[in-house]
Amino acid sequence: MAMTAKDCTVYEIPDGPPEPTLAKPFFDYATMSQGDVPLVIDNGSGMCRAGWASELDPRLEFVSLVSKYRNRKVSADQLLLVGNDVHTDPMAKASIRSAFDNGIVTNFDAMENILDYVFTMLGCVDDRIAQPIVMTEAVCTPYTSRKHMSELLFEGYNVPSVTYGIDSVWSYYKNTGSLDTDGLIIGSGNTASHLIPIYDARANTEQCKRIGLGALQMEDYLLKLLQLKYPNFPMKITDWQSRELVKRYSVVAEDFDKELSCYLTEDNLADKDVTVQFPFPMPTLDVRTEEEIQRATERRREQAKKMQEMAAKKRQEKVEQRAKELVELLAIREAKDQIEAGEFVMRLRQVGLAKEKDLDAAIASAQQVVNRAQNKELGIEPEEKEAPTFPLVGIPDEELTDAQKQEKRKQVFLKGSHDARERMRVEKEKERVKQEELARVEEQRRLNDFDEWLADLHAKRSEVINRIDERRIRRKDLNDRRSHASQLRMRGIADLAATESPANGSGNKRRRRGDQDDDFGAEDDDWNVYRDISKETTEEDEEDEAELEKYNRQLELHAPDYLESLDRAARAKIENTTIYRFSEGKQPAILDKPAAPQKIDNDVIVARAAREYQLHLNVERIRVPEIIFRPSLVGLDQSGLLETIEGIVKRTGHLSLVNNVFVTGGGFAQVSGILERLKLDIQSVVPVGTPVSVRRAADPLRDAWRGAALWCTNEAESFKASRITREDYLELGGEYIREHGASNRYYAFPASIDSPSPMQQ
Amino acid sequence: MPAYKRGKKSRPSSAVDTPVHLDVAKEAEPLANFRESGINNLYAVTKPFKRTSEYMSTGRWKNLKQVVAQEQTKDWPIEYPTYWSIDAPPSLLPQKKYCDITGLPAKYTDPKTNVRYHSAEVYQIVKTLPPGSEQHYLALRNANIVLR
Repeated sequence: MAMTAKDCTVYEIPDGPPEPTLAKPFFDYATMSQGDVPLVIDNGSGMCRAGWASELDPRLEFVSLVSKYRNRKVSADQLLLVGNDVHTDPMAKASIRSAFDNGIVTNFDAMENILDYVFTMLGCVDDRIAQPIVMTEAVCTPYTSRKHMSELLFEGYNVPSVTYGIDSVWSYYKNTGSLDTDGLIIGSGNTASHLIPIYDARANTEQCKRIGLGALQMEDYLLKLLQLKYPNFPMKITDWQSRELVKRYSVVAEDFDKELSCYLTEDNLADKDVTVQFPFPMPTLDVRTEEEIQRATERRREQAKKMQEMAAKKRQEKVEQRAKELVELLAIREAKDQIEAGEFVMRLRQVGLAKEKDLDAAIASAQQVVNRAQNKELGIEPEEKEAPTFPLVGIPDEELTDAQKQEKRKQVFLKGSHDARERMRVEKEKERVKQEELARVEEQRRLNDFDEWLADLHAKRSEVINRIDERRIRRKDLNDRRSHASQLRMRGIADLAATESPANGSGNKRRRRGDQDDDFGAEDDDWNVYRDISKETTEEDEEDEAELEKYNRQLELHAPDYLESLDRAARAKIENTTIYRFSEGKQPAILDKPAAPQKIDNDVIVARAAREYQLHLNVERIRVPEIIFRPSLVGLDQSGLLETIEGIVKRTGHLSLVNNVFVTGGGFAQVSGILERLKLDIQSVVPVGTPVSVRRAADPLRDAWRGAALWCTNEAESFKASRITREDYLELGGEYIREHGASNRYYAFPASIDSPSPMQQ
Repeated sequence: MPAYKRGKKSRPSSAVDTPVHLDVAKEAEPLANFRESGINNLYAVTKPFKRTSEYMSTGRWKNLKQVVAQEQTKDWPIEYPTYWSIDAPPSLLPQKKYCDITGLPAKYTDPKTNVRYHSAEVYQIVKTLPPGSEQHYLALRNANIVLR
């Protein structure tokens, strides 16, 4: 049974993100900055979060984007928007830039803007940033990037100290309470996913691995998949919409291959397929009520009646005019004998006639018109014309005079055409009787043996349909010059030409005209000649269409269910294909030529318009997040999540890591089902009985910031020891860091090899 | 060589001066014309905490690829983790093949286009793909032909 559109839940997706409100700055910098409270900045490539370490949550949360642009309506000067504010002015859209390149800060102009924004929004009015800065950085940040960052912080803002750490490790700290517990962090961010083992109470970046996939890659992959799946989608799917779709509907399959193999089966489809409705323009509708429509038809009918009446009146007037004329003409004829010839001619001239003969003709025609009108009024049918007689035809020529001979020739001709007409009429009559008889027999059969009659009708109907289809296919084939059908046809024509030209004059004719080779076929358009020739197919088509229409009418009259069932079968045939399920889910198929009459009301029109703007997510839902387990899906030549975990466990020799797998970040960590999948996968590769536990951060997005804030307070000792002071920066260079449990490693190049730091210069 | 040159940074004129006397709380003074025209124009704000005279960016930034290439020339100890050394290694497991069109498991590959497909039914689609468009499908798994 086909489902109607109403049975499927349709999820709506808006055009874009909700209109952002202007970010509001804080004004309590003076009170907040009392003492040595650190400023914590989670400097992620997707989102930036900043606030005071003394508070539980970050004050600021915004997308790490910057837009420098011009808008003459606002100002003649260049404008600069940062964070969520970039979306407040549509003009800014084209100039949006990020400070990051694959999760690493590379554009420090944009970074500077972001830091300006952070300090401005926190309400800093001092002449320097007097707070210690705690900032996250990517795992194994290149020295160059860190050097620029330190330069920016120390020289641009004159900060007293900075502490760098890894975001996901701080998130781990927040959720575990310390770094003493061994564990394996899976920090999946915007552009990459890092696997960091925690043992010896610190993040072991030596054993860390990175898979270059994050939220951005999922978004990108889904977008490309949808663009290929719906090449004719009427609107552009935006990045934001794609990201939203990933966030809402993607799930990690527990057993990808198993789920995949039965994803598009009929039973599964109902709960796996997601119909997404994009905003669509409302079609113009006929919103009149039944009554109004009735009134409109009534009005039209009345108008038609009025027109008819007017026409009748006009006709009447004409007849009356002719009657008047007739009276006048008759008067002239009557007066002929009483008046002089000259006056008679004059009176004839007056009514527009030249000769006496014309007068008789005019009288006859006027009489005819008047008579006909009178007859019609009285309801008398015009009597059958008498059959013309041809008396001279049977008489032999010898007995006739020359004039009679001529007359006879005329009569012979007239008789011939008359006979032919008569024959045709008889034949037509016969045909009509035959048709009537056929219809009667048909009717009889229907009444006597309905089933057989119906079966017969079905057979005839499908035969017609087959014929139409065959011709359609042939026509389609003929359009392609390389197809079998058209090659056969060409061969036929060639054969014909070969056999005909010597015997028949057609070849010679051309030769006679003097052009042996007319370059026919040199251009592809020449071949259209043949396509034009095959006109007969359209005639046949019309005939068959008419026949089909006739059968349909009969079926509609006597077996209305049958056409419905035909449509149902046709729909089911389409709906049961993998491809249809893949792209249209459980929606009922729309037939090109439905056999049953279709009722098209406003609801149907709206539903069809809406469907144009719908798409279906099914296989994509598990296919997209699967890329982190099989990077080869997106052509990335890296090992997947499980293989990488396996490698880390093997290399570190810490099997206990798998008992505390911790998932955090804004990328794959957000996808539902990832914990279950990871657990099952890990269990399948570790020795039986090894305890495996996988958990997600309480808040995968904010816990990195919270962890950093918490760490500053709770691990005051480490924090103090890990501050990179201004002196450190000047003495040891921008890339220098003081290591701590949650930080990257530092390697100092021997002074002779490394370029000398500014102080040594 | 330090990456930053010291000098005066050119700023839009509106941000240079600080005459703000609007009815805003005193502590909010520098933010007075921040939201003036309905947008948070950061150029319109005075930033007292900045040392614009001390710091000026070169304005030219290397992208990550260039940065990495430059750093790779240095003599890093083998055990030290660097940005490029922590990349997950290529997979050693056999890679399963999936239908390029539907995403279902793929048993077949079209020798003409190299598109992998799930069944005969999907092959009908592969057959009717307009020339060149199979590259878009191949691009999904980075197997498309890139002309240089």
